Amino acid sequence: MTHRIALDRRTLLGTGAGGLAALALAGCGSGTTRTADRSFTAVFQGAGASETIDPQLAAATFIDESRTKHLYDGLFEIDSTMRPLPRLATTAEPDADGTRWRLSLRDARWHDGTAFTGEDVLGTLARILGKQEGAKPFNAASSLAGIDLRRSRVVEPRTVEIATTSPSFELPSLLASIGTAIVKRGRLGDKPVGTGPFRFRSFQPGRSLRMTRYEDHWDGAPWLEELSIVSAEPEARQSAVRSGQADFADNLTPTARRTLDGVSGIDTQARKNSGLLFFAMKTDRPPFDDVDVRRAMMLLIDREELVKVALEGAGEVSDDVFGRGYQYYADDLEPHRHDPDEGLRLLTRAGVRDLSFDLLAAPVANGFLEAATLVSRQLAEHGVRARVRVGSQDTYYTDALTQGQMTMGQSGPLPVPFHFSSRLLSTSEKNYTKWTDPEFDRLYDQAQGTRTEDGRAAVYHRMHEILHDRGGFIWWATTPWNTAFSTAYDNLPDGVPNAYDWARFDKVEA
Amino acid sequence: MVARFAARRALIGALQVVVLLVGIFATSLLLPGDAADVQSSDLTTAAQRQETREVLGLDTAPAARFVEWVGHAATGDLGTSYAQGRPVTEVITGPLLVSGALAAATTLLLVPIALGGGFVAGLRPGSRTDRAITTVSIALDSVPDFVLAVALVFWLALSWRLLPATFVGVDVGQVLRDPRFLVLPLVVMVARVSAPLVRLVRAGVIDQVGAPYVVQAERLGVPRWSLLLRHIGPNALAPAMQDLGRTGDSLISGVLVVEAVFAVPGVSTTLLDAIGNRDQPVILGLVLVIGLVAIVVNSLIDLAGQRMVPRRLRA
Repeated sequence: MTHRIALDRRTLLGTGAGGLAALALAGCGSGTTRTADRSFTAVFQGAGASETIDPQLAAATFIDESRTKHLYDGLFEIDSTMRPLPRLATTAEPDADGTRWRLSLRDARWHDGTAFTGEDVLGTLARILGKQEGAKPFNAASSLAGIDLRRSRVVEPRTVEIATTSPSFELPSLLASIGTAIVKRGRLGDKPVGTGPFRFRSFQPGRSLRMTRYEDHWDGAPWLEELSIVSAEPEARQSAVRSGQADFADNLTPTARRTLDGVSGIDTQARKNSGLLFFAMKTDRPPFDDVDVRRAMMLLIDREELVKVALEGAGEVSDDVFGRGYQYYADDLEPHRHDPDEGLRLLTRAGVRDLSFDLLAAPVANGFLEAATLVSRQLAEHGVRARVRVGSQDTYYTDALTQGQMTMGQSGPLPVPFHFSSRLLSTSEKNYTKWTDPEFDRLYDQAQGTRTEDGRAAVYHRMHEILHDRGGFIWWATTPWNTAFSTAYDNLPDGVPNAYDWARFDKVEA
Repeated sequence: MVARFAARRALIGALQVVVLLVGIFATSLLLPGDAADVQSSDLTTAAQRQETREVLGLDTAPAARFVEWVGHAATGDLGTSYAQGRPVTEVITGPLLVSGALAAATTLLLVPIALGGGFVAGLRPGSRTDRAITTVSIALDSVPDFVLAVALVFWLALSWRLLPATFVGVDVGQVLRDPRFLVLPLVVMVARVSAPLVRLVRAGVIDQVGAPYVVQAERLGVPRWSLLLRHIGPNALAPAMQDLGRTGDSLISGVLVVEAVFAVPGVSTTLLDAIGNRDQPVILGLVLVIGLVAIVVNSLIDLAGQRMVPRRLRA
């Protein structure tokens, strides 16, 4: 659920052109009377040739995630507060030390009529942990690496035991991560067979996935008979929903959303708290290996102004604690606010003069280059030189792991423990801040071995405190996720990206 | 004469294709990162990235990869897409057909429009008709495609609901059954390419009408239609033919703006996508086909130009 970091990797014409389109379209008040039929078309930002509906590979883009969640189900999914929600699993009970979990499975059937069993669960886990099959690696391989397949077993057809190599009281949350949906016997046939609410009909990467209703879905058959999830660029998404060619358009710019807002027959939504924006200071190299320099940065940047200017007001100021509104968020830490005097005092205390560093940026999300430029200007006012270097947007998140002293990025919503484990342990692969702290690692392990949720919350709180005081991440804003849809339908998705009820149309009704 | 000309062009063309492929491949290596970097997500590890590199064969030297690709391409096998694992021929056939169909339709409309407009304007320079045609063609030439496309979508599709706004959710079969889908993209493309041609033809016609040999022929009583068809026409069109050739190239390689605004699954979207994915087999495959088409089209145009005005060959 994390790699949603790459929110808008591709937009052919960029935001400038999108704004122009919105401008040209503004002022057209004529909508159409729309009627709901049982055929629904949703249009998402496409990713061309690399789109896939293999649930273990689907990840690089939101369109993959939306498509696969209609064909397949996971054991768990996460809700909008990032708590695990039972889906194909009904209950999960850990043993005393949290190294062996017993899962009861739902009475579900595959699209070909056969029963879903524990063999499918273990088969899928074996697939994920096994050898890479094609060009794309399995996304869940590292998050599920702690599963011990040899000691896991099927107890009876609908009961399965999953063993882990170390205590893991967060296993349900891990089983909800991206790329863990269950495929039949751990194999993909020629024609996709899932347990999801829609059956596969046809798929063209870069174009469309067409599906039909699956009457025997365990969670009730969808009201819709046909569902198409289609790829398109921003301008085409806007025109498509406006002309009635599409019933739902995902990922609109703030300007596009405002434009569509006035059109009759169309409603829009700006789902708050959907993108989490950060600056990442590399703590392993000067100047950010100095705690006081990091603390100073957190106070020298003016978040209010960044949101107002770089994000055109479409966002909320954030305060260096990851995951507002999520499970395990620490809401009692003093928010960092613009305080240049204190920031400069800290720099003086650190004995740092003529501070200058490289800020690696790329247009990977709305307003990023604007934010980088503005931060550089804000810091210049206090005698700090941040040199903005613009990198390649295709490989930005790989480059940001090693290059630059400060980088930036956008994270999708994801559980706080997952944020810690994937980005902040000394062994983390996506350690954008090069954070290595034995105490921090130890606390993480302690939390995984703590049975009660309250007990884990206390440990995670301690970890939040460390990062809030001296970490390398500056979480400066959260942004909304903008969608537009036909008013003829009800029960449209309402969750934040990555959540169970995001981009899911099986409950849509007239 | 023509055979020798054709043989020489074929040889030069083959060399051009090789140079083009080497250049494109070398340039693609300059892009930061490779296909494995692009395929890795925020969830995958460095070890997985290395495995991807091995699976894709990116761990062999680029020069060796290129030579191998060229060897296979010579037998018609364009390799396998890094991003999709499907044969390149399968990946690029659809987009080539779509862009090819649009290009063919555009050319069919373009030729009569450019010729007709250019001749009508050029035969009576300064007249009201001439001024109208010139004004329209200059206007269309100066409006960016993107603005034209968005404006057309806004008026014709969204406000008046005469035509579909995009190709979103539409099958190729549906487009063929209901050609209204093609109207807006075609209008933008034809406007784009015919505007400069109209002005070139017009200039050519004006040039020839005033040429001493035409004036003399007129004095000698050569009928006007014969003058137009046999003398003014071929001479006036020769410069425009060259430009028409260039137009052909840019049409077959797709029109990015049109593809993006109308969600047309064409060549330029595919190429841009392949560049983003560092998908060298697809990049090379597309460039090979586009390059071949461009060279063939240009050779045919040269040949046609030479037939119209034979002295050009000797020059």
